[in-house]
Amino acid sequence: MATQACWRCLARPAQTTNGLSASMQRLTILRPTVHTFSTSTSRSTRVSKMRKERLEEKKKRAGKPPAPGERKAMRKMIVLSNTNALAVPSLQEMTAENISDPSYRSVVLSLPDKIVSRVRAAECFKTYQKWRLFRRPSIVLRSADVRLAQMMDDAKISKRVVRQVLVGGRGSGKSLYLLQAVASAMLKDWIVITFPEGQDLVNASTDYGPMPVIRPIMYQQKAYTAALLQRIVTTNPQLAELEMSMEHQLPAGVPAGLTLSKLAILGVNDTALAQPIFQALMKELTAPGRAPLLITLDGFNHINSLTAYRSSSFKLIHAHDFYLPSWFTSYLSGKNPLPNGGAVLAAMTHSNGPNNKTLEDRLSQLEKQQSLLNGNPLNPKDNPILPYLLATGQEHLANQVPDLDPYIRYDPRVLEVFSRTNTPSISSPEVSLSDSSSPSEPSTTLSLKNEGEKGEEEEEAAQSSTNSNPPTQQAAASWASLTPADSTIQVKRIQGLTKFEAKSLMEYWALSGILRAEVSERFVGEQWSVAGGGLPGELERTCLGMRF
Amino acid sequence: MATPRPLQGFRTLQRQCIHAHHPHTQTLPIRLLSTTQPRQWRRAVRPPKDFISYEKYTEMMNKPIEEAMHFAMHGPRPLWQQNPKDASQQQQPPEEQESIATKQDPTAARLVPASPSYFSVTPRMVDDIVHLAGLLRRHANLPKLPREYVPKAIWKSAGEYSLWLGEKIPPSRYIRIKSMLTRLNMIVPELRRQEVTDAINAHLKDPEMEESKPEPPAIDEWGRGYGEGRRKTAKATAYVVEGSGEVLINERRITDVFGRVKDRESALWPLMATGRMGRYNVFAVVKGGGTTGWAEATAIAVAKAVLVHEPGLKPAMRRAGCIRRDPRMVERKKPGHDKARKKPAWVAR
Repeated sequence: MATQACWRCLARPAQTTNGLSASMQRLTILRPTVHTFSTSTSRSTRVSKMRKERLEEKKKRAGKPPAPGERKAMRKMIVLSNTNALAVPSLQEMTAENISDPSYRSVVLSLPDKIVSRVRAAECFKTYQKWRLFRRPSIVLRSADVRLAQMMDDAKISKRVVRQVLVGGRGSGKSLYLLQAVASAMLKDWIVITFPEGQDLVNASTDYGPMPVIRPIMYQQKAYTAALLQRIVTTNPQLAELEMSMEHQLPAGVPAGLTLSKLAILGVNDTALAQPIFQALMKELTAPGRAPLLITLDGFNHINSLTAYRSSSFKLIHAHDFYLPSWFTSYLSGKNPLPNGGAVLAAMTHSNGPNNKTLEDRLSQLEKQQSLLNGNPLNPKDNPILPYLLATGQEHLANQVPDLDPYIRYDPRVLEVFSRTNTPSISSPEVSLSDSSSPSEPSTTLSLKNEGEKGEEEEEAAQSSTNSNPPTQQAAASWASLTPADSTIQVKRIQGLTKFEAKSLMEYWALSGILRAEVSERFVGEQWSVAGGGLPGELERTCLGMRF
Repeated sequence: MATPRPLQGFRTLQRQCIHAHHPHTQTLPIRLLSTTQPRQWRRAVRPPKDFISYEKYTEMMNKPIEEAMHFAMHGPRPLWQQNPKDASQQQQPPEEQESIATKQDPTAARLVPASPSYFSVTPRMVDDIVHLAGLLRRHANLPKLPREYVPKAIWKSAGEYSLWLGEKIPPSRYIRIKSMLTRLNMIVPELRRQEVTDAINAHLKDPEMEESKPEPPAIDEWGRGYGEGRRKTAKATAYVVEGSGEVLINERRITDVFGRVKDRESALWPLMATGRMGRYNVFAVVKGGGTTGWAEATAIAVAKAVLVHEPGLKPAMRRAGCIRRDPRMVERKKPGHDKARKKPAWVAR
């Protein structure tokens, strides 16, 4: 949605002949042309006859230069199918049931055809992923994915919200986790709103302007909002069946009783309307009785610092002064409720993310806090510095969480996002050292359960009775501890694949005819270590990519 | 220069000569210097240490073999080591003795080196080579044992050999000696002459020397094997414990340290080549240099640390190229060059 004017330099549109007055145009046409007589050939013809020919030849050889936008389209192109790849007969499709079934852990599942185009519209497939090599897009179901699907089931029933910030090294699968979440939500008939790249909101690549009335000043991004509305409509075909349920104050006369998709398309067609229509749409979507909402954002570090946009006083604008980033953070922090339940997921990025000390420190602090709360401070697995503390006789510090650095000027607006995160006192009696012998006792204060391998036994115990059945109220009661009651943001660390998951994935690659190696224990172990402990992005690079 | 006049007064004697370091005797031509030799020889005031007079030489020949050997290696014994009869002879003033000798035989004033290879850098080694070459020359025609029946012989290492002779001998030179010894060792033992056996025995590894070897590194109390490695200017230290194949380099994941897959693979090559990737965890610290140096220094360090756990892997590791330190360093810049080899472009005057 490029605007005609160059908004960045605030210049006026370039004058063209179309803009000239009629008389001026006539003048241009009627200007007399003077021909001077000469017997010699003109200089240009004489000199450049050979050269012209040569140039023409060269042009022919080089071919037509790509049309404007063609290169970018090639760069951004997502190819999801390769007819040369073998079809894998044993490949199962993802369903609403099997994604939350622990027995499907480490199984490669393909995305059903009906949601592939929707996931593509949500821009969850990235260009750097290797979808183009395989017959159909498939992902390995990790225990964290199963866990998330269970939490989403729970959130729907208990009308709670799963709030997670995904951290983890580069290539550890944070974006894949988001993709899995989006796919799950689509299979569960949730409404999905995605921000595929946080960077796009802040790097001054779309237009912006102050929103009317609101003080302190808040900026809107009309073109981006229109694109977002378009994305919402394409991603959620069910909006065509939902009708408006309330009156909205919209600038132009919007007829009542429209379907939500038609409402959104009004905003797509007229960028001036995009912002109020987005607000109206969100009101509709959070109205009682609607489906749960999944909101995801990739590249969370981008929307927590100064943007590249400038205010009228030529100062850099903070990302939280923009409507869309602040809208997202308000849902993430729990400031705005999602009364129908839902999930808000934000993934950090490490490939192009800016340094954000506030975010990093606060997240690592929260992570430590939650790991200690949900695990055992005296277990080296939950508390990595425990051996050091024991060796130096400082075991009384085992359940202490580091404070933020008092000598750093943190960004208060970023800290504000996490202010609602409930952080019960670590030195509460539930986690005192004397209690450490029975750490797995569930308690109401420690409602967050730690995920990953340690929680698997509990997870299976909780799931054993309700493996294939859709979630029931009874099951919801047993899962009450899965989702925090308050607006706690979980810091979810995405680790590499386990060796078992990696093996399953590599077998799928081999069956597709892409990986030309015997998938043995030894091969898996080697690739797993070379890929930094099974980071899926690195595994793709070492097994599937060019080696350099 | 006119034609050289014939050397006069030279006598060639076939005599039993004592080799400096070998208890076996050999027939060698001995040249005695005459007065026709250049002037500086005659005026030598203080004879060099390894020179002996003809008088001394004959005297040495008359001594028992052990004494002669000691004399050849260490010179005359101190008085307290000599028997009283010899001591009384030694107490005579040397000038007088010399004068007597001179009176008896004028050629006694001439000094000769005990070894013909005296003027080489490593006379003892040259003597040894000459000796062994002589043995080979004389005994090479004797029948050989088939390769599999040749008695096992572990020769002195180059370092031990150097120590034994008291001369600095590069390992490359010692290879020649070892090849001769190996050939001598192939002679059928029943037909072997005593001198050959003696030469072989003299070069065998000293069993006492083996005991003084440093102890092989052991796993420490935490179950870690430790190794160090270098490449270019990088130095790596690695701790390896039994585990599941996790790797930390400078406390970071290997993917964060080495962006290139090639570097990661070369850092973990010792584990890959021996199929031990999933069995050990690696904790390495690397300093200095760039990524290639880091990766290959880590490889050597990891290999050494794994060898602490499994010493039997050493041949496999060596075949995989994880034992030898790559000695190549950056080539120095030369004067007149822009870099090590690059020359400035030619410019017309």
